[in-house]
Amino acid sequence: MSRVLLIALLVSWVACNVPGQAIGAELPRRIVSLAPSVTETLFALGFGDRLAGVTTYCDYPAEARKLPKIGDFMNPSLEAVVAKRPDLVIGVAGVTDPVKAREMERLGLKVVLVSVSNLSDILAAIRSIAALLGSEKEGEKLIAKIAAQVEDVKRRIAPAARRSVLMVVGFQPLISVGGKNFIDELITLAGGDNIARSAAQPWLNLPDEVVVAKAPQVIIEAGMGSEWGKSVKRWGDLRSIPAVREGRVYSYSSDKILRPGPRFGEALAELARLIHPECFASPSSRKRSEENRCESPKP
Amino acid sequence: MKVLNRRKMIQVNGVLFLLLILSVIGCSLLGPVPLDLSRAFENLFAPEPNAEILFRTRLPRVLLGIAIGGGMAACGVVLQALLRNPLACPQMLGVSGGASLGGILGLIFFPNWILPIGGGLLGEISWVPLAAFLGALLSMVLVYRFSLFHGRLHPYHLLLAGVIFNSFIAAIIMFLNSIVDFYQAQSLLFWLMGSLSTRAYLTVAFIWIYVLLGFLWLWAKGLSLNLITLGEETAMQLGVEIGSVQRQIFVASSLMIGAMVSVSGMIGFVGLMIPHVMRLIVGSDHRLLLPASFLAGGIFLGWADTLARLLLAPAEVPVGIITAFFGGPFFLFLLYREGRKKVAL
Amino acid sequence: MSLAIQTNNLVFAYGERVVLNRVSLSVERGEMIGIVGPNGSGKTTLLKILSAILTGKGEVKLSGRDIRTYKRRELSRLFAVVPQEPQVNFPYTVAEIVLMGRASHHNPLAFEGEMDLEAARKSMELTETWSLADRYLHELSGGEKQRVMIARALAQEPEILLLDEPSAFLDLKHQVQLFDLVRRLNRERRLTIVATLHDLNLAALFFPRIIVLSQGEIYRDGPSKDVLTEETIREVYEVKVRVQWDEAEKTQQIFLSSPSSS
Repeated sequence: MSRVLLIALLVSWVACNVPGQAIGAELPRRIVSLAPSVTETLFALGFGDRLAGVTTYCDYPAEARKLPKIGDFMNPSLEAVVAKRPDLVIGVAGVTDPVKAREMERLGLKVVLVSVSNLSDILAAIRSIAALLGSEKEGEKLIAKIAAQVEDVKRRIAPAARRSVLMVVGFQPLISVGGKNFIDELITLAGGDNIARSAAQPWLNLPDEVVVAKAPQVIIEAGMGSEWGKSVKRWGDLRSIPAVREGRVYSYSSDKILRPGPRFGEALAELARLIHPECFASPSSRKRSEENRCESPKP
Repeated sequence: MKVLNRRKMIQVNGVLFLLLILSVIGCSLLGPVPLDLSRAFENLFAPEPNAEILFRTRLPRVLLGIAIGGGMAACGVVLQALLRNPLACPQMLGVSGGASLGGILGLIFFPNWILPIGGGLLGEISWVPLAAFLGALLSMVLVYRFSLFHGRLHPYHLLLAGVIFNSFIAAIIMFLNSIVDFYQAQSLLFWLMGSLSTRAYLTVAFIWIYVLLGFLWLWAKGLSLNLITLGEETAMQLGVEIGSVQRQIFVASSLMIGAMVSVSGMIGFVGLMIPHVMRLIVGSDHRLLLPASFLAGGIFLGWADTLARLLLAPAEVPVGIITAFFGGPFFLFLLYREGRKKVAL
Repeated sequence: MSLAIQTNNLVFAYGERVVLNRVSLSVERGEMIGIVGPNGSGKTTLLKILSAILTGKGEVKLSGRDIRTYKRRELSRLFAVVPQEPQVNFPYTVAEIVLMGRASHHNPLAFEGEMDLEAARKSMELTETWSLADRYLHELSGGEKQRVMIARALAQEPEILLLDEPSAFLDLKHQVQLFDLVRRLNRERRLTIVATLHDLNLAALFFPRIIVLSQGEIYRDGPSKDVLTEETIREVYEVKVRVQWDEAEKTQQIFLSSPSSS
């Protein structure tokens, strides 16, 4: 009953106050973001000040944390979004609830869903968002910056042979990433071969025997707060795995890479640094370390 | 007059035990990755992939599966007797809900705390199963308090208290699921659906000792269980100290369930299906039904876990899904049978 | 010889509602007693107290000892109860059910021994249920089930047999058969029998001593021909009847009259 009343009120308010849906009439001044990657993109494009509402997961950059919240990205609150009177609502295709998105449109809001399921999609999303804000130049600048980061990584790791990688995103039980996952793409770009790439699902529960059989050369634990010392101990009984034998078990704070946003260039660099540390060694440490050349490790 | 005697006990349990051994072997040999058996045995203590696959990844989880399958089945048998309801299962006590909640809280707040045992010499236990076990104990005490009247545990109250408790816990878990971050939610989900993934022989041994002791304690009550199924008053009149036996069964099975769920998450339907199947095969005398169900439960879960590893290789399907896959239709079949017969089977 | 059963000023209440009020009775070994009374008079409660299901205030002694000093296993060797209607949700055979009566006789961790099998067989033969030994209980008729319950009670080798309205769900033929068997057991084995009944004629026919309960108190207690009188029945059951002596059976029988006939 109250829901019907609310909708009736909103429709009449909208009809009275919003001067039509003329597209391109005015650039959006109040934006609601329904995903952390969108929030980050908006800030990166310089439009952080136009954000009227973000999700509870939007924590980068720091200013985003102070912005008013409209729910989490799986479940945004319809009322909270509408209450912010946005000119534009941006969500993520496949993640934002499509039913809610349609509801918002019916209430007169302009809703755009971008796709960020792979890296080229992420770049396209940046381009679309920039266009929506009438700021194609900023968009291209951001894209160029990211492209440069990617190129830098590619250049550095070019001489090195690929390494098989196990990416761990959860324990008890072991959760890894499959082929249809942008993290898998990042691993490939970083010079690694995701051992679980053949899996159809984006996230999967991986039995230990598969890990042993695939014998990864690098293990990256992207869980929360895992510590270096304990990581090695966790794998200590499976010394047939090259990564364990050679001590290439790394823990990595998950924030950046687990977000398909504009920081993926940085995430890529960090991943590459873990997978091919010898390609990123500084001149001083090069003198100290054994592997002071960026090439395939000795068998 | 056909009655239970030593010969039948040995025959039935002997056959099942043999099948159990064969299952341990079979399940250890099967899996999503090919195994070179000779190389595995040649390199028993060396860091060699085949040896590690067989002895460090497969064998522990097969052994764990056998223990948990057996424990769940045994608890199912005694709970069906205690609640005098052939459709009862271990999940109804509320203990597994408490264990799940404890484990999830552990997963959220301190997933990487590790408790060294014996000063680190005997290995380590993660805080998560400990938190789960604490949750189990707490819910056991709560459900107990709400069902205990005049020194007796009334089956009706026990059932109600357990079901309500579970619903409440489920609501809390769903709430937690909505506030944790996306990746914790994935962990949570897999944990709730059960997994026998383990490499720690220490954990396996611990569970084995626990489950075996619990099982033996319950098996000793076999005759009382028969009498209890006739009704509380009848059991009293036939010589059962009903209050004491009920309490013992409740505590023993709660502790067992708590320990099992805290290690492997929620694996349902084993405690419901296996007692029924075994009752059809060996009869309702609990002195035989209990050990037979224990062994059969182990065999079932061992193979269910193997299927879990094979079905969507390289990914592992949570074993709770496999058991539910068998259990759901089985449950419907049971209801259908019940409708046709006068007595609930 | 101590009394089989003795109660002294027994009182039992469910909260505020008093169900039994100062019930004192004595039963000697080998007696056969019928307890009658209208619904709500406390018959079933009395039987439950005698069989140690409920505990009331006041003294209850079995074989001279306070009932509370017994362990349940001892009690189940002392007396056996035949319930009104067996409710078994699980598929047991007749033999399994009867053998459960032996539970308090053998070690709980061992199987039934020769003695137990023999006792079960004898009690099944006595109740004509031996041929049903391997049938499932839920497949049997009401009368057959009741006989199995008696077989189980007999397998306990009790001194006292308590029966709770045993004929309530039986047809005429089986009612008569049941009480005939019970009387034989009383005469041949000196089993003390205490049964609650709702049928006054059956009570008069088979039970030498009758206790009439009314509103939780003993209204009359004595030989049936002294107790089952027109006045008693009118007072307790609030119905007008005619009582006549039946020479053939050497007992009185009650004839009902319809209220509207003159």
